[in-house]
Amino acid sequence: MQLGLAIAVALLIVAVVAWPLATRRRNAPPPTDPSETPGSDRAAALNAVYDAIRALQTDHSLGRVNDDDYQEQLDEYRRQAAILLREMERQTGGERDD
Amino acid sequence: MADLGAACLWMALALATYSFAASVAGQLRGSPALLDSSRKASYVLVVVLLVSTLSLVQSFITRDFSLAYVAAHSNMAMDNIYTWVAFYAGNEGSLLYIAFALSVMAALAIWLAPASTRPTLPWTVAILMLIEVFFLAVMGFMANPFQKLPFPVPDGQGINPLLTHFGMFFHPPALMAGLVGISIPMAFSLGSLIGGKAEDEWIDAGRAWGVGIWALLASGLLLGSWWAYTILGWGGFWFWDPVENAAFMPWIALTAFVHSIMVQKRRGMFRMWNIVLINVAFGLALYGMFMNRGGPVPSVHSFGASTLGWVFLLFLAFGVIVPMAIFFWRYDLMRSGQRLDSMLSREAAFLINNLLLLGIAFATLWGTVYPLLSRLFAEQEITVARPFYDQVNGPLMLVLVLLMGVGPLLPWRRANLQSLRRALLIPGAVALATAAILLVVGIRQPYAVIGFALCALVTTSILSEWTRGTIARRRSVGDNPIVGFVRLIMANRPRYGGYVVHLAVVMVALGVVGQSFYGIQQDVVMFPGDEVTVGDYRMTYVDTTTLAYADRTEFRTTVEVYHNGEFLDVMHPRRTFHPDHNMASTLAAIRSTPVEDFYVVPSENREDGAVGFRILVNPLVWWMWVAGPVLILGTVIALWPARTPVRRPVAATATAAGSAD
Repeated sequence: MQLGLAIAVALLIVAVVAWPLATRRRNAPPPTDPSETPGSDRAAALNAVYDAIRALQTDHSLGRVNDDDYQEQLDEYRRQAAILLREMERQTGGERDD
Repeated sequence: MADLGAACLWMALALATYSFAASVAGQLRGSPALLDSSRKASYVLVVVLLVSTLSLVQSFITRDFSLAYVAAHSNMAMDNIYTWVAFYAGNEGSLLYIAFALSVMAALAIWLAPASTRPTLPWTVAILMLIEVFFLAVMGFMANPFQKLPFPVPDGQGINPLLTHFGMFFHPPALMAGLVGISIPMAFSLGSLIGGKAEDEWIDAGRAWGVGIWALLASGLLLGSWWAYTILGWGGFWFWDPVENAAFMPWIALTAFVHSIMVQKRRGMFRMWNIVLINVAFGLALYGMFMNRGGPVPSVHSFGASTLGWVFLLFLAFGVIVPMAIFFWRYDLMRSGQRLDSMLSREAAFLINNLLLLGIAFATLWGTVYPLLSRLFAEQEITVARPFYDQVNGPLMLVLVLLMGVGPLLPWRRANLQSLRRALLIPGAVALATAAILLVVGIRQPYAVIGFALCALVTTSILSEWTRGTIARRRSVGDNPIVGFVRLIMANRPRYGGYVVHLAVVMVALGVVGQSFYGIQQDVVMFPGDEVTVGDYRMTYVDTTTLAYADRTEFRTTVEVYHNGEFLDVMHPRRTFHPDHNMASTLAAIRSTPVEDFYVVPSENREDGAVGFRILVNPLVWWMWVAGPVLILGTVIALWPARTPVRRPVAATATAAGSAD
C-alpha cells in the first residue's frame, strides 16, 4: 500500500510539474514584462493615495495639521490620484479598443 | 507508513531543487512554461510534505518503535494528545515541521503575490525554494526523522516531561514557523532587488507577511513565557537565556521593520533601510536556529543532543553574506527621492523607534555572544545575566514606550508644536497624575513609577485618539458613537490595528514592571500544618498525596491560602519525578487576578514529609497573558484587506475628495 501511495505522489508531482511544459503556453507573455501588471499596480497605488488622504483628513480634523499644510498635502495627493485615475481610464479604454 | 514518509521526504528535496532551478532558468531564459512549472512545483511541495508529516504522525500514533525518532520521543504510556508535541520535540521532527510550515507559507506567498511583485516573483520563488532545499537536505542527509533502528525496541524513551504542557502545543510551532517565516518578506525584498525592481514594488507583500510573522513570533514568545512561568518552577517568565534571546532578537528587528515599512508605503522613504532591516531580522532568525540546534550554549529551550550546529552556522554565514552582496550590487537602485521634512513628524518618530529597537536587538546580541567571546579570547567564560539586560535594555524600552505615546499623535511630514502640545495635554496630565498617585500610595521605585506613568500616557493617548476621531466623525457625518468608532477603525485599519497592538504592549509592560519591581519571593521548607506569611497572604501546608503512574511518580500537594485573614482558596501545586528521564518537573499552582498572582510551587519533597516551597506574589502578571489575544486582534485589524478602489471619472473623484474636507 505504501508503495502504491508513493507512486501516486510521484505521478502527481510529474503531472503537475510537467503539465505547463507539455502544454507550452507560448502565447503567454513573459512574466518579466512589466506591461503584464500595470493596472493592478495603479490600483494599489491609488489605494495608497486614498489611505493617505483619509489619514490626512483625520489628522486635520483632530487639529494635528494646520489648514495651510493640509491644503498643500491634499492638493498633492489629489494630483497623484488624478494622474493614476487618468492612466487607469486610458488603460481601460485601450483594453476596450483591443 | 514510515517508508512512504521517507520516500516523500526525498521527493520533496528533489521537487524543491527542481523548483529553484526551474525558477532561475525560466527567468534567465524568459520561459513562461518553465516559470509556471516552477511555481506549480512549489505548490505540490506542500502536498508531498503533508504526506511526509502525516506519515510521521501516524508512526507516533501507532508507536512504531522501529523508527529511532519515535522511540526517542514517545513511549506506550504517552497520552495520544501529546503526539503533536512529540512530533517536533526533537531535531528531526522539528525540521520536518519547519520544512512543511515554510512550504505552506511559501505557496501562499507565491499564490497571493501582489501584481507589483510578479516581474520579480521567480527570484522570490527561487530564494524560498533554496531555503527549503537547505532544510530538506539537512533532514535527508543528517537528521532524518524516518531513520530506522537496527531492531525495534519494545518501548520508547518517552516525551520530555517539560513538554507535556498546554503551552507546548503552540509555543514551539509558533516560534519555529515565525523564525522561518521571516524568509517570506526577506525573499520578496531580495527577489525585487535581484530583479532590479528595488523601489516600492515589494512593500505590500513585505508588510503583510512581516506583520503576520511578527504576530506569530510575538504569540510564540508570550506562550513561551507562560510555559516558563507555570512549569519551570522558578516563578519568572523571562530569563534572558541565550536561546530565549535568539528568538527575541529577530522579533525586535521585525518590530522595527513593520514600523519602518509604513514610512516607505506612505512616503516612499527608507527603501534601503527596510531592506537592511528585513535582512537583519532574517540573519538573526538564522542565528536563532543555529543557537537552538547545536549552538555553543546549552539551554532548556534547545535541542540538547543536536550536532547540527556547524551546518546552521554555515547557512547563517551564507544567509548574511549573499543578501549583503546583492544589496551592494543593487545599491544605486534603492535611492529614495524623499527626505525627512521635519524631525517633528511621524516618520521621524518611526526612525527613532527603529534606532531604539535595533539598540535593544544588538545589546541583546552582545549579551548573548559575550560569554562565547570571553571563552574564546580570555580563556574564561564571563556570563552576562539579567542585571546587564535590565540596565541596558530597560531604559531603551522605557523610551520606546514614551515614543508609543507620542508618535501616534504626530502627523506625517511635519507637525506643529502647538497642536502636539494640545494633543499631549490630556495624556500628559493623566501620566503625571498616575505618577503622583503612585508616589502617594508608596510606590517609589523610580523606574516603576516612570514605567507605570508611561503606560498611562500611551493608553490615554490611544483612547483620546479614538474619542476625538469618533467625535470628529459624529460632527462631520453624524455617525452615532458606536458606528462612528467602528467606521473610524475600519477607515484606517493599519493605524488603528497598530494602536490595539500598542495596548497589548502596554499590558505586557505592566506585567514586566509589576513583577520586576514589586514581586515578592520566599523559599520555605514546611511540614504539614505549618503556616507562612508572604505579603498579604498566609499559606498553610495541608498534606502531600503520592500518585504512582507507569512512567512517573506525582507528588500532589494541598495548601490553603488566606488573603488579609480571609480564606481564599485550596491550591494543588505538584512535583513529578520521571525515572525514565531521571528528572523532576513541577507545575505551579497560581491564583491569578488582574491585581496580582499568588504563585506556589514545590521545589523538593523530603523523605521526612517536609516540602520545600517557592512562594511568590507577582503583581500585574495577569495582564501579560491577556495581552496575547489583544495582540492578535490588533494584527487582524491591521491586516484586514482594503477594499479595491472603484474606478470613477477623475473629475468625480476630485469632487468627492473635496466634499470630505
